Amino acid sequence: MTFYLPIAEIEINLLIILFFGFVVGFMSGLFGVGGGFLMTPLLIFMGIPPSTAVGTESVQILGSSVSGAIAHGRKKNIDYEIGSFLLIGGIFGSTFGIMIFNFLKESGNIDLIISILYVIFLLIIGSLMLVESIISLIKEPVIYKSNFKKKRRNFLDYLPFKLRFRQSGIYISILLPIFLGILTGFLASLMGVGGGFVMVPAMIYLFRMGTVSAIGTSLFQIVFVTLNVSILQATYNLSVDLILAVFLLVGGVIGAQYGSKYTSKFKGEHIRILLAVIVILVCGKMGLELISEPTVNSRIIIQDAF
Amino acid sequence: MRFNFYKICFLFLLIFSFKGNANTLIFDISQKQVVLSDKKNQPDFTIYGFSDSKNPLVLKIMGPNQKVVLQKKTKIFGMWTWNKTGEFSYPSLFHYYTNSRNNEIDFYVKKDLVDNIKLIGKDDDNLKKDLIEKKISMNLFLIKNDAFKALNSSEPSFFKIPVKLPANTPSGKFFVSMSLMDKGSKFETNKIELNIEKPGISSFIFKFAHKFSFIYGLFSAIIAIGLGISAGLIFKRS
Repeated sequence: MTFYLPIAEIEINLLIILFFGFVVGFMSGLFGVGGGFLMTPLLIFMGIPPSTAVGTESVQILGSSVSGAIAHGRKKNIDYEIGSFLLIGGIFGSTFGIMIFNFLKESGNIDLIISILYVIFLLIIGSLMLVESIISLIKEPVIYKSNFKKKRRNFLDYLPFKLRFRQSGIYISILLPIFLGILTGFLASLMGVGGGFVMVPAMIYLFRMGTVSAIGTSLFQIVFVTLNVSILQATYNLSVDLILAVFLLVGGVIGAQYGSKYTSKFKGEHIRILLAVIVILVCGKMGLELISEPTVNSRIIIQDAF
Repeated sequence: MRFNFYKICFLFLLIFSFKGNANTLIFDISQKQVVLSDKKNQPDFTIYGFSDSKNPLVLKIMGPNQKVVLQKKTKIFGMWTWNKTGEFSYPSLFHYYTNSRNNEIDFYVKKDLVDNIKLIGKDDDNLKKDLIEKKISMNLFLIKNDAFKALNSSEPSFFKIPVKLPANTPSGKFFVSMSLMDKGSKFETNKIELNIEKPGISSFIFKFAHKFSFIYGLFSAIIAIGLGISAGLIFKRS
């Protein structure tokens, strides 16, 4: 079932795409993560140009997060006030990111930047996850009585423009969600990720939001930011391959359903260790590709096709 | 099929009217409107022709002009990155089919390839060589020797050349011509125009994405949202 991908400009077996979509979807369901930071490197390993992998992945994330966002919306797990500020930052960050992406693509350095960003982020996430899960496996479970709201004030509490967000019951500066939105929007446009892996921990530990509300609100932001990124990537960088996105989405959605069924069969720490190992392996492979002698050392970019 | 049959009959009549001349070269194409086939062993079109000359023959297929950037991998701080090396304007596809293999043909083909590439800015033969190597690796430049097949063993002057273009062939106006080499001099026929179209959804998406990129982006987003919502509903029910 070989098919010529019109934007990626390579011939590929669509069953392989479906399979990898399924595998990453399965891992997303199993580990409870978005999967963008695993799918984009995998697409690059398969020979899809990194810029197309990033652009296409944003379309896939849009599709896979929309039903989750609707479900969280119905259960009133989305804090629309915080979500709006995250969104303002996200739209700004992602639009700025696309401009940077376009500039780097023109100069021919976008692939290098994408790979470096992935190596850095995967290394940080993988190591933190591995250390945290190993510690929690070794240590006796401790019941924390601490309440985030009673914690000592830090510099974030002294930021201006503070607002009370009634649904989450928090009192924080609007600059926090705006800056977080800018960061995740920027990452979404340059790395083809949703940004949930940055947003959710930040909302829990910095904003002191509840976990469910943080997940729902981050999904709300991801939907609109990836919508913006998808349209801008297609318009300015011609880097969205619709056929690739559709097959990834179909495989991913099916895989996620099966993956989520297996979550309860494993211990949380074991799952996190497994994910950490996968993330570190992907990071290692990307790092190796950066420094090892390339097999293909030239390429042509068509400037005008007509 | 009937159209092809009449064309071939016409070709034969034309050829017999030229029989008296030495070095006769005449050819035509099975169809002028070609839709690329995705079947690997099926030719996209066939060239039919006649030549009573014993001299080398070269068939040239030339694609529409393109402006491209050539990038090469270079090392920065121990990491490999793409670096722009040159900007070119040249026919997107060059396929040469010859009836034999010799140095004269080889020289002609290589010279023709280089002559047709126009560098934007400073001229550099090494860059042209790099581009030719890259295009050859992508099957967009091809030299196929001994590609002429006799239509009939009793009439070896009548030949056919089945042509299979690669999947990454751009669509547009192509030109086909034939050349006859005769001791250093070259006789080239008139160019026959050919319209190449790519089949199915890939070609449609390529054109759509390049011509209406904003609408394409919007459409992609709508498809993704639709698929996501549908999948959510399907799995909710099951």
